[in-house]
Amino acid sequence: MNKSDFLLALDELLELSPGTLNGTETLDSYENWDSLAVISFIALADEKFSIVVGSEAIAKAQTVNDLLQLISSSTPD
Amino acid sequence: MTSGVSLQGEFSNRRILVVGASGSIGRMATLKLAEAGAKVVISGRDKSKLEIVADSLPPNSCQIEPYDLVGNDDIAGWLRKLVERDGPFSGIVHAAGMQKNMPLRSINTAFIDEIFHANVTTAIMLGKAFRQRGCHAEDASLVLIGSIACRIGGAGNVAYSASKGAILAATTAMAHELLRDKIRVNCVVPGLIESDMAEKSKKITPPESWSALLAAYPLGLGNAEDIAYGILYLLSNRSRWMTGTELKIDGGLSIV
Repeated sequence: MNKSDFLLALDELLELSPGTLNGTETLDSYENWDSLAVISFIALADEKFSIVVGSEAIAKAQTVNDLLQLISSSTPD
Repeated sequence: MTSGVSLQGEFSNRRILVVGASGSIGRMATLKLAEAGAKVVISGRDKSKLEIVADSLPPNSCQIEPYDLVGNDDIAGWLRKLVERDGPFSGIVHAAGMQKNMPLRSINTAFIDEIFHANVTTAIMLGKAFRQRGCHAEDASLVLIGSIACRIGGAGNVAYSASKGAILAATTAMAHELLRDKIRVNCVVPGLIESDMAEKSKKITPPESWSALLAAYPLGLGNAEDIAYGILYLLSNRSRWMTGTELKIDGGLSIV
């Protein structure tokens, strides 16, 4: 999954129109970025990348690009 | 068993099949069954993990039969082959399963189907296989594994909780249908225990939420041994007057 596919997946996860996110957005600016979105993100990482992303690492992410970095820097489970 | 009514000798020369034997509960049930003298056949999709389980037991304590219940459509044929080779089973434990979280906002039918297939369809198909003529010994026992999640739910855990509710319903219905075959069907319903599954959940759960979850258990966190003893009891003839039962082993969670 390249960056554009990742952003589209996050668009869907945050219930945004496709193509909304470009990566620089602050996560806290989205109402739908909540505990359930975190669960969805963990499931996405597991499903698409076979990566287990810890909740504490996600809590430190401030932007969409930070989430992308989490995926990029993790190794498959 | 370490105290109370001993099950030592209860399983002598009885063949028991444990599917999902490389998971925490299946692994411990295998160990306790072997200790109690059963001839244990262990199954799961990953042969190398089954070999690790077998290596942890005394030599020749169990037989390995790798098989992927999810990826195969002929569970009845597979079981029949095992029986034709080595004889019928006195009991089967269905300890295979899948737990994944997915909030409703992201859920889709493929996800729900995957969970239900792994947790429910395989259990029912195993019941179908077990009832075949010659596959079960006299007074046999089928033990399914539920989850207290079906009683308490949890955000993001709809599909898994529903699948475990379905296991309880399947237990009751199969218990009715298999009376004529003299197969008892019961379900152990565990709360949160120290397990591979719990370790994964802990990693993806915020620390404060995890602490709150643990605090909800009056008797603290359980372990696989707590569940295995329940499984052995339901497999044994000591529970001969029980079928269609839901045996909760949940550290008191459900009374709070």
